[in-house]
Amino acid sequence: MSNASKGFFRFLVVVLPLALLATFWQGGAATPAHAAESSTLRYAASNFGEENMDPTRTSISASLGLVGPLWDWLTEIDATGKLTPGLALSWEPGEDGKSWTFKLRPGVKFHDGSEMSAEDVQFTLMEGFRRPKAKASRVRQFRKGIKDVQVLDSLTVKIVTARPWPTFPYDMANQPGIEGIVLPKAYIKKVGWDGFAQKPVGTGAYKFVKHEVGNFIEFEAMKDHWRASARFDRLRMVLVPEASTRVAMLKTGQVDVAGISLDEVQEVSKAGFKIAEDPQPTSVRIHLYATYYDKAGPVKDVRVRQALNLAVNRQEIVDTLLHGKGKPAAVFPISPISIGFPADLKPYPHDPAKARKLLAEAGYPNGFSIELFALRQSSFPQYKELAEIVAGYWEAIGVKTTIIPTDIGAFRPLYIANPQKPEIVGRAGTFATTSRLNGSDGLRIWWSAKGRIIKMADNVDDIAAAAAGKANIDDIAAEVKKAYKVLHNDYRGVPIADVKGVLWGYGNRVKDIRLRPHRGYIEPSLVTAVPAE
Amino acid sequence: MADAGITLTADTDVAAASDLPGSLRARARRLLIVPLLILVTFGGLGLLADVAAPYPPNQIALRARMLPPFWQEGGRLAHPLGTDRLGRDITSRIIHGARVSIAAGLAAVAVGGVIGTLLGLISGYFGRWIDTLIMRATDAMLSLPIILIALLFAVVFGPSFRNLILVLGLVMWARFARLVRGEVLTWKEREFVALARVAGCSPFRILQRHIFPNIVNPLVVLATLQVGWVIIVEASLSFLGAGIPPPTPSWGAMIADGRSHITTAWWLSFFPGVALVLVVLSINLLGDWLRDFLDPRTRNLT
Amino acid sequence: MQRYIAGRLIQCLVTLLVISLLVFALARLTGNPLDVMMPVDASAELQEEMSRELGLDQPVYVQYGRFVQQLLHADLGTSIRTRKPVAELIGQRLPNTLKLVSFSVAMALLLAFPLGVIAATRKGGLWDVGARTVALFGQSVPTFWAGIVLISIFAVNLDLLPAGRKEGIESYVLPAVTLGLFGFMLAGVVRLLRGSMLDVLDSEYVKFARIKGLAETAVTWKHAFRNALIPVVTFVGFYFGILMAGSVVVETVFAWPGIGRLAFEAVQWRDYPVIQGVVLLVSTIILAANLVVDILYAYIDPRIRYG
Repeated sequence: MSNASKGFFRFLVVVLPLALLATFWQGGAATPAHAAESSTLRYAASNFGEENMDPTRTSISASLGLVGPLWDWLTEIDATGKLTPGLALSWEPGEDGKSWTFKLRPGVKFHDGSEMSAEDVQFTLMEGFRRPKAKASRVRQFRKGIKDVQVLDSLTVKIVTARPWPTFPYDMANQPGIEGIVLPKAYIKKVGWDGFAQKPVGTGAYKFVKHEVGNFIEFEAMKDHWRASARFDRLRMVLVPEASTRVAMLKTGQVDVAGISLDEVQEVSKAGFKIAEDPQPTSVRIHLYATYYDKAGPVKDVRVRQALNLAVNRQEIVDTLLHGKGKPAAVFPISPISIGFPADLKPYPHDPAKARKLLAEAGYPNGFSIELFALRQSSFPQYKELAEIVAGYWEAIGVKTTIIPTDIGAFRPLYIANPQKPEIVGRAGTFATTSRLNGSDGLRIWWSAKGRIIKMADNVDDIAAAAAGKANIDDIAAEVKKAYKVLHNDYRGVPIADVKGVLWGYGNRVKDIRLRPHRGYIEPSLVTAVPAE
Repeated sequence: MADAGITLTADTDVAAASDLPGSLRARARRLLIVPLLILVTFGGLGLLADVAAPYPPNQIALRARMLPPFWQEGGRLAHPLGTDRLGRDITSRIIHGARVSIAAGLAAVAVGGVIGTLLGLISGYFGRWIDTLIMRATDAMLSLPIILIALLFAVVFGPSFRNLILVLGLVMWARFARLVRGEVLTWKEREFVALARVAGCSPFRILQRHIFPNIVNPLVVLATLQVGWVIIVEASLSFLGAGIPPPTPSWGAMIADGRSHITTAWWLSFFPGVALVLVVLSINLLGDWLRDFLDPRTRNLT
Repeated sequence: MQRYIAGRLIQCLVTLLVISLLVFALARLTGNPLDVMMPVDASAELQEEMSRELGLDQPVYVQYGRFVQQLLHADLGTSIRTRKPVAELIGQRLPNTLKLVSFSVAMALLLAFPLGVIAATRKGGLWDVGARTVALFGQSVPTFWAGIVLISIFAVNLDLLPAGRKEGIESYVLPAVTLGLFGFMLAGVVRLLRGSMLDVLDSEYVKFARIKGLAETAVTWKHAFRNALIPVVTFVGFYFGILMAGSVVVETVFAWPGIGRLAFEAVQWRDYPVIQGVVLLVSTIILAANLVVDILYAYIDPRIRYG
């Protein structure tokens, strides 16, 4: 070896590794809590959502799961769909139906120690969810629908609406969104919205400790919270994207709770773990896009839509793919505890012979070709299998089906900008969402022309609009039922099933888990631990 | 993670070839028959999939889902390797998957190989600014995180068998370009090329008749190894949700779909996994051997 | 020499510029982050507000100009999804990936050294074939599958190691084994080691030393093995960057909070600045490794002017 190469050798073998070690190791001092302290609840989630800690700027349910422990809502909804008190103890409509007066719970404190008052509610509704940068789900509704919020006294607040809003207390509940929370006015004024997003302060049973994007979030229990005192001193939620790893970590005891899908239920319960499920089912369905338009090709014919429906064996899907955890659906997306659920409508039967006949009558004796978008959703990991199964049913009646896996980022531009876009018209796509409690929300978002997803027969649009303007809930329910009857009889889409799809498996350090309806995330203050020996 | 084809630019210390094929002991060489047999078997199965597979690969039977292989309790002889999550016959899907996976490997290598070879020939022969241009693009491609770039391309193009081939070809061409350019540079200075130039041959003819034949050997070696790489990367992309779309039975997709059932229904991912490993390992062994045999100079090229 | 270094540096900068353009364009072609972030029933008005706030309403060349300008000020921009500086996000993740990759390299070398030495000293025989087959086996198994199988054996069934996440030193074992042994690193090192050892073992000088009675172990270790280390270390340098990029699959399987996972999520969210930041970082590391090795070789052997 020459001297030069000897020097080189020495450099590489001795200096480089040392340099590597020195550089990278110092960063390793900060180790997260490894062994679980008995008082820490560790849970593994599949998805953290947006990971934006500012609730006025999140709209995705997984994000809500992430920040949920920080917050309480004005009202709450129990597993049967009944409204119960939250931060508000009572609420009453005004005589003209165009206002609501809320009485707040006394003695509620924000995590920074300050007391919650009516001014905070005013700030939340008038500024928080209406400011230009807000982008939560109801921002538009708030901007248009809320005229004024008046502070009557420190614990009484009156919300004046532009027109009757009978479902307002439901919309302030811990479903379907985040808008029913109360933001800390003084704190936000002091630190600004950016400072608030760095270190959020809420009224929930747990306060914010630490968050690292895509990695973990930690909370600490509030002492003397008005809700039943939390048994776990700390919460640590970690992101584990791979399902089999989540189950493995549950089995090895690395986490106490793990988000699982229907496919893992059997394995997890066989291993001796308990399962908690969201009381509000997930609506699993196939959309037929833009069936209203002439360009829609074969699916504009009601007989073709009927055939596509009759080809599907819903019971078989429920029994197999969905592991019996659901029921065949007649319409979507609405669940039995929602306002306006059309209980009298029955799921379409399975009748492939009739389906073939209908296709022939419609002029497609040899079938036709259709593209089926399989939309990736972390809330419904079986989207691909569902698409394959439905494709199988459709192929069996002669409809040649091409599956196109997609994600929301690629798919949404197709339907959101213009429902007439040639990329989407006349095609089909899987979708799964948890149904909203307010049935007219589902109509507005998924069926009305303004919702811009599926251009519907005009009368449904009218019905949806009518429902939104009704002064009392029973009238809304009646209109929603009417609209769903039209949709059902016209075969506008392929409902598959309502399924208990949001599931958590948990081990014996946890006694019980209750999930907030609709969003399916863990309500930590309701989680209780098995007392330590 | 999977990534071959980086060229050791500075292998001067070890370039001398001493390990000629003749020195391989006969017994070891005879072992090559094993990977060859494996490749021929799967290749043949793939070609004759329509005849060889007992069922159509996409025939769904939900009520017969996740049947174990025949020797386990509950298994049926009609489905010797069991059925998958939708009740499709795994044996049939593996046989059809041979066609899909091997075809994907060959096609992607053809795309990347042709683009890369052409660019490499041009770059090496003409030099000057066009060389600079192509080489900077090649450097850029070679220093990109391959899987991420493939993923980005896959999202841009949308998922289909054809697009996946394009994507993998696109992230692969630089390896061929780098290799070919280097070869052209060494051959270009040879006397016979200079003579051909003096004799008035066009650059195209010189490249085609005098230079290209000399670089076929290293090309074959690289191409062979890349086929295995493509099959592996397709599997990784399936895992990340950007592979060949369903219901096409690619081995990678079958393994990825069965991965969460390793403890409850091991056969879903095990059998396609074994097929994939056997074929890719055979390709790699063959490529390794070809490298010694055809191109001892690049023995240290990895 | 200085001119050579300067030339190589300029080449690298040009390459980086090409990459920045490519990744900028690719990221934007994947879609619009607002389509992922906005509520399903978001109004056009709300979409436009967000678009303006994020500067996505400006012409693409303005956006690119701003991106490059920020880069020149060592600023990678702000994540669209989380509204946190990209540098901060990468800073949190990079050490995790570097540590994982370092461990993986160690694992690969631990197995590669014996395999390479066996292959070289038993050249042409069954041992040689066996050692090379073992090394090639690693690059014939899909990484994710290997990882999941390892978890189910060593974490779930044997209960020896943690199943996932970075929680203490023992949690490095499974991901590092997966990344180090199932990939191209192992086979690459074995091949290099074998090749360069053979060069020495077959040389006249060693033959002469043998005749003079030098023990075979001394030949193997003092001459052949040491000589082989230089290319091996060089290769490891090259491969370090590539492993970093390839770690996305292992990071997903083991819920490892590294930069591969960061970039993958950014792709799902169409979070342009994060995609750009990670790709540029990894590319820079790979380019820098190349550059350092090239310069060192040029230093040793002045005849090399061109890589």
